Amino acid sequence: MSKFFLLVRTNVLVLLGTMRKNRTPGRYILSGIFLAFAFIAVTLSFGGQSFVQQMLLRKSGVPELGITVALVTALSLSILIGLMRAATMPRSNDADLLLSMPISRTTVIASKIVTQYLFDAPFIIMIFGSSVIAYRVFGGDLSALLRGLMLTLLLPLIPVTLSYFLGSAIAALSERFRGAKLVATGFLMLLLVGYMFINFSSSAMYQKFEAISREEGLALIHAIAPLGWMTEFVTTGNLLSVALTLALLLIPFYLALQVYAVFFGRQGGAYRSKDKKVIFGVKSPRMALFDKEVKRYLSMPLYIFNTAFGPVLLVVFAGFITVLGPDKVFESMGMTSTEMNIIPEWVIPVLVSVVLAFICSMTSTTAASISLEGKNFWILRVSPVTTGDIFFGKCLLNVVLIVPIGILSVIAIGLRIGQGFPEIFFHSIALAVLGVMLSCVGLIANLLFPKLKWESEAQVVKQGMSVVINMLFALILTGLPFPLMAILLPSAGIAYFYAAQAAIYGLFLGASLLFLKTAGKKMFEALS
Amino acid sequence: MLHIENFTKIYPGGTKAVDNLTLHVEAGDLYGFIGHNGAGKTTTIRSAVGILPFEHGEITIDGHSIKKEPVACKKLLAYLPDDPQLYEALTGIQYINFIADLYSVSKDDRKRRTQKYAEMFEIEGNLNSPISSYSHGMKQKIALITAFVHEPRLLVLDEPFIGLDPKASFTMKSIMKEFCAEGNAIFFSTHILEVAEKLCTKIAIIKNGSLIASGDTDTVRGTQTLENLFLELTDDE
Repeated sequence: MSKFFLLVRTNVLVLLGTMRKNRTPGRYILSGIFLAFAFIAVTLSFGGQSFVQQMLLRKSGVPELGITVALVTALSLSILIGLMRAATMPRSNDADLLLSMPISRTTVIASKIVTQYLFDAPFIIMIFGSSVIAYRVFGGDLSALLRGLMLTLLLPLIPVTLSYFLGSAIAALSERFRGAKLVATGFLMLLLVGYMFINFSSSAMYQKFEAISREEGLALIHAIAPLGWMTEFVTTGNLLSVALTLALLLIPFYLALQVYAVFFGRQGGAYRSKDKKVIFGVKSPRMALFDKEVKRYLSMPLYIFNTAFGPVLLVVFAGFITVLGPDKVFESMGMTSTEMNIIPEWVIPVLVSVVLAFICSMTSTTAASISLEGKNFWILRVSPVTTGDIFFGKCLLNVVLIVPIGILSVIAIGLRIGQGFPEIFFHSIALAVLGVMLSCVGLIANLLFPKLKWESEAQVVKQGMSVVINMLFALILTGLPFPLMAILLPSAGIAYFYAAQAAIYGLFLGASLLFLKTAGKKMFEALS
Repeated sequence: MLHIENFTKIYPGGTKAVDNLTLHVEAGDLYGFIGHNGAGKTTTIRSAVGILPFEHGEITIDGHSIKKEPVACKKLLAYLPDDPQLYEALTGIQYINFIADLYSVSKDDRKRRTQKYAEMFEIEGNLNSPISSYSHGMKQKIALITAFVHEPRLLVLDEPFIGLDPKASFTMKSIMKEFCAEGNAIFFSTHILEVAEKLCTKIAIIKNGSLIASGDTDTVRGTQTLENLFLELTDDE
């Protein structure tokens, strides 16, 4: 076996090994089956969608639009993967080991790239590949199929390119400036919000299949030039589109590789201050623990990426409603003015409450915060602080992230939709209690599924069982009060609904606190 | 100061790491804990400082049980692991402030002690840099400063000389002697038998989880070198 394939195989085995670590064979197999099911389900879903789409578009006379639509989805996913991955690039734990071995640097780097490609590719290939096959099945020629498959294999280069470029830029800045990582994370978040906005607008634009004319379809295909080139690459294969598509995908990829090659093996995060003046500040133990949580949070782009969506979306949602008004929201959901007039009065406040509560449930720093202690866990264990103090610091970070912005959103939206003091007051209380409750629930999830031994924070923040379980429970607990509206709202006012919502969240909070004080404390103290 | 009575630690799965160990560290003792790899030194140390829970036996620090009054015990001690993994996101001074806050050390005291030990370990120019940029030795020095910043009565160290440069190692030994001369105590594990022989007032040798010798260094060693004694006691043949 050549050294290149040996390295790729080892990289894959290392990844599978980290997934297997600390899992019983039964759980490992179960996870594999679950993953396979998820993959098959998504394949069938996208495949079925592509075939139905292609049938409809053939009838409208613009089958090419099917390729464009699939491209939009595949590109969206590629950009998302690339941005998320950039947050943790280009650190490579085994760089020193590999570079000290009798293997060329090119081989080492190529093996890393191919490994990343292998992990990023399946979903992208599945989304776009199914559309290419559907295009062929319903009448596309064989050469279109071959070009389509070629583009299918090229598309996963996009997340590799993006993550290497942005990741290397973050690493370079982090070596020179303190706080560069935080600025870069903010920049990535902005990119992500921009991406979400564009994705939202474009997906609405590319979903008008029924009764579309050929002219309208072609205009849509060419509305964004690179999408037009790539679509033509598959459908016609004209020389210009082939040249432009290949240039668009391969030149940035080549440049990103050059940048990555420069950074590979360099010790990241080596910024050193020349400032010799030291500041001694005094805090209470609880505030010191909270401060430590904040500093750790701000130093981990991936942690921010996975937990800051809630506050960002709260601002976006509140801004959207406050500036444009709730009618615009319904309009964007495809509702006509006649339909809007027959909606009962209580629907908007309840919908606002549902959206705000579910956005809050997306933020949980606590679900990974104990696991993230990892090799630093000994510090907490030998410090003269109580388990309650440690829990307090961890929960407070989550509360600070979500509750103030949540309350401001409630006030802004409440004033915009003409709510009075009782409604705004009880809604604020409900959201505040929800924020605290969700923080405690996240902590409980992490106590139930702790993972102190990890190599990369992604294993905890993104793939940790506690994070997945917490997402599910947070959604269920957040949603539970809403069936109340069916009972309360026809007779009582919206303020009563908010008060009842706060009371239910309060009950959950009480139960969570009780758990943390008793079983949770014991579970934490048994960790080592 | 540190009393370990009939301490037994069984890991999940049934492995007995330490078996019925009894050991007393008194004020003024500089107590060396010696044993081969996997003998049970780190398990004993980690249990003594409250990291590892244990089922059998009792460990007390100044009369406080580590099981029943962990916070009271931890206020009296400082612990330094063999590979001090610190919060890399913090700068050296932020980490020192963090630990000082947890022990409620006043501003003046932390300033005075930090300046003293940072100067001794020649790290005062690096305190504003993030810990992620530190070498292993520098991390060790920061961990040592935080160990002394709250003036503990008992210092528990796991292989404290690993990673230190010769000068820092010499400084460390002086600090350890001075610390014990002031009526405090140190309990530390080491593989460097020459250091244990020259530095320790008392030693304990552990083999396969059981204590096989303990007491005053001179008494335990007798007429042999510590190295010879250790090899003799730990030789399975």
